[in-house]
Amino acid sequence: MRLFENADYTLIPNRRIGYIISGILLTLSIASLLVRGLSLGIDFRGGMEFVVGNTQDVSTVELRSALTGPLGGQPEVKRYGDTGVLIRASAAGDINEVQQRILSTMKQEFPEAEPRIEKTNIVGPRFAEDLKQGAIYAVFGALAVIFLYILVRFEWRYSMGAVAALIHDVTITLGIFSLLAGVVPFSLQIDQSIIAAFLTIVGYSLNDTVVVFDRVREYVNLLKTENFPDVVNRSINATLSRTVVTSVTTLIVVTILFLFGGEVLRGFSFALIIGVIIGTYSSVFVASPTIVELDRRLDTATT
Amino acid sequence: MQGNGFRIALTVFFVGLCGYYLYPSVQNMYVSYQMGQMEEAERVEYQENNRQRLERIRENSLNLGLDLQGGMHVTLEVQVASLLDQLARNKDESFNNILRTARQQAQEADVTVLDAFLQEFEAQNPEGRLSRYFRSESDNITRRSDNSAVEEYLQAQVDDAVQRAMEIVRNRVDRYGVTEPSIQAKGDQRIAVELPGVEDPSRVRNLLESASQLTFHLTGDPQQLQGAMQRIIEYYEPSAEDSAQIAAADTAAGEAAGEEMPQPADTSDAQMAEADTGETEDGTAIATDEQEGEQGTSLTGPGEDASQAGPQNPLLAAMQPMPRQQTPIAGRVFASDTSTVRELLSRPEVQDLLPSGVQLMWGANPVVTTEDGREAFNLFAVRAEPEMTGDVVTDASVQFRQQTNAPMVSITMNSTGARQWARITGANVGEPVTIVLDGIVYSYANIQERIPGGRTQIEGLESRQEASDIVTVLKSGALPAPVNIVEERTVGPTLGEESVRAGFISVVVGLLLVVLFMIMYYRTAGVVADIALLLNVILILGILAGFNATLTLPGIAGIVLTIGMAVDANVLIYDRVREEQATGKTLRAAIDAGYEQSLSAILDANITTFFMGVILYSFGVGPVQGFAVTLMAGILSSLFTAIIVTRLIFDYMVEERSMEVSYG
Repeated sequence: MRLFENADYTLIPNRRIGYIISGILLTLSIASLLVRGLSLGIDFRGGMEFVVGNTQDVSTVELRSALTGPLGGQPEVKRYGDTGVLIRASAAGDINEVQQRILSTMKQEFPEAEPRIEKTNIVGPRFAEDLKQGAIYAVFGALAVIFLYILVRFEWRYSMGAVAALIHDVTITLGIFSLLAGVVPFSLQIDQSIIAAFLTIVGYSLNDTVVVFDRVREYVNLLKTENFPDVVNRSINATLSRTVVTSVTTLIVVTILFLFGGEVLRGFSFALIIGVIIGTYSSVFVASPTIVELDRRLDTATT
Repeated sequence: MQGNGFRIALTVFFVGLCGYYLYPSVQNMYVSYQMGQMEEAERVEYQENNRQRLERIRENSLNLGLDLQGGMHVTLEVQVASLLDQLARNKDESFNNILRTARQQAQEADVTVLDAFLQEFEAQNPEGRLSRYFRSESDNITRRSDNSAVEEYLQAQVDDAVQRAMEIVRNRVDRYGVTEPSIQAKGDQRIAVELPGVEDPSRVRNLLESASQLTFHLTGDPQQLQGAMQRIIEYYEPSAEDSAQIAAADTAAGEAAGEEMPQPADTSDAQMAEADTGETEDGTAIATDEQEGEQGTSLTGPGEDASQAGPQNPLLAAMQPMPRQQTPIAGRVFASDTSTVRELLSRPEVQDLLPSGVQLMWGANPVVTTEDGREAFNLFAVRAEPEMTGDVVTDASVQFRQQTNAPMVSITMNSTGARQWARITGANVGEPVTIVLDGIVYSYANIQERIPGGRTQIEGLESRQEASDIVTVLKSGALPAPVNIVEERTVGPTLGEESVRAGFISVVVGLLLVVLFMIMYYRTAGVVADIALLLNVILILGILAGFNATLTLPGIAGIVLTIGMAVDANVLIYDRVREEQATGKTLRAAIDAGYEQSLSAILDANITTFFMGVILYSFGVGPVQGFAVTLMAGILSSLFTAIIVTRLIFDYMVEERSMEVSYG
């Protein structure tokens, strides 16, 4: 089977379409990030999370109102998997006491249920702050390392292109997380595993971009007479088959993770699905056009 | 195939290495399957007979993370602020203010409480001396000490407190009886505790967070104790009617039967005497303890007699009674049998048989270690009501007797403590007194004389180590370094099992679909890529086992992801081969060119992803690190299989078999 063999699409000349699509997506994402914001998970916000199993018959709405008094504030109550509920409370108070209050409230309100604590996640405020800092360092550290590596291996224009694509990808993925939070039936809170997913997206998107750039570098030396945009266009076409095949295999596995990986990995694999799609798109429509634009600016500047 | 010798050797080497590292994991799976098939009694016997082998297998096999096997991960933080509060004297309003500000700053910004405290002190009293608040005779901090010396002293105290907290946590966790707990210092003031398979998180929280209780107890009367133990043993003596009931307990206890009981250590027990300071003239009057005499010579196992007499006495099977007249030691038990003995002795009827007001407590340190590394602990009979509490201890240190250089522990008490101590020691000369922390006996010594001044020495210690252990315990009474839980993650066993299943299904389905896709798309070459892919999964697991890494659920996600991305290198190569073929090259030349031309793209792409793994590993905790590790392992193994292994297969197919390889 062969897909995109001898592909000859006019991608670079039509890059404006890409700019429009990216522009719309970026505007939407940034707007949503500003208006709706991101909901931070327990890792970065601190708090207590209890998953209480054996509660399939308990209504989350009733449970929430029952727990509001004993826990104070506004506890979040959600379904977790098939048989559990997830209860989220602020980090104040003694853990055992909070757990005891949850269990006794449940026993009182739902005498037929036999609740069992299946999972806890407790993060103190200071610890959450440290985790947040670590995540920020990791993301910026990753961007810096990539910029430097591409700088060493290619030229600064390519570095700019790669980093532009990465920022584009992460912004849009974050935007989609912000837009869809509460709409989809699973948690899209930003926690450590989502940061891990983001860095993986960064790695993946870069992977795609580097393959195209590698080809550009090769063709620039090979086809000295052609102008730069054509060379880039040709490079994209030559690697299109590989780009698509790798995206397909990666999409297959992340979709499987999304479907079968269980509740814990749902947000993580959702981020990866979006990231793989956007990452593939951006290496063609963002990273490559960026180096073309930079090349043109440079040319007009020197002449 | 010329020049491929090196590649073949490399492949064989790595695959062999992975096989070597994975072998225990496979064994482990097989053994647990086998044991799952056995009857309860049979399994216990099997475990007993193969203890060392099973332990070795378990140690060397691939570790599962707590999110997969179920368990509890807790990060504790030592409360430096309350430590400073305890250390300080002459506290005034200004001190309290500074401490409060420091505590708040440490909550909000990335600064330690101690640093914040020192800065704040400096800011409020530019000329002030820290020695106003902090003084310590044993560390030579006096009113004249300059600030840097005091800072050094405080830092040492904080480090000490963290060490002490770790020691206390370790002891408590050991008593809790979890298999393979892990306790590690993390940063300056945090301790990470991992407890696999914990059933009751709230109990563990109490266990870890509760302040330690240091108490001094007198012991039970040895003669009474002996009688009581006799009656307890009789209680468990199997008789016709209740042998069935005991048989159940017997199987649990039976593991210890027939084996050598712990041999008594040649301990010269400690003595307690007034400090040999210059002030007291009679300081040298420390009598050696003749009462101890020869220890436990009649240690032929009662277990042996019992084993001949049909059903065994379950208590005797697990515990070696100490038939001595003069010591408050009820018996001696191997570490593996402590839970059995604990259960046997906790029954209300048995408790009633003990002399009134007497409680059985475990010794902290093993008295005997057998050749195969099994440890035995003393079971002390201690008066339940403490004579005094440890908060009267103001200082404790290791010292050495001048002439003999023998280690001893020196204790200083405050005036209240000194008064109480004088009364207690005066009334009980010749009697043993125990130092108990959290219900565990750490030191056991005979009172030599009335000790009036509060300055006490414990002598006759085995080693410097023993002395410093006792000092740690005493200090945790004087300066309990309280710890708080700042992070906790618990996963119940059912949820863990579900995750294992979910991960396994994802790996299998992902692998299957990618394998099919590759065959569909690349035909013969796809099959080769699939072989590489399978090898990849084995290599990743091998690398994890070899580096003793832990497999977590995100780690499994990393493997699944690698399955999708690992084919990328092959895809790059194959597409290049197709292109080269399209220019009219022969198969042989196209393969050579394909591998050569795609190498730089493969390397660039993978190195950058590898960097992501390194960054993730260095910032993440627990499960996220597991993901980073598998991601990195996946990149290494996919590079290896794509560049070396598939090339080898193609060379073989094309050159040796002259096959027409289809790249689809």
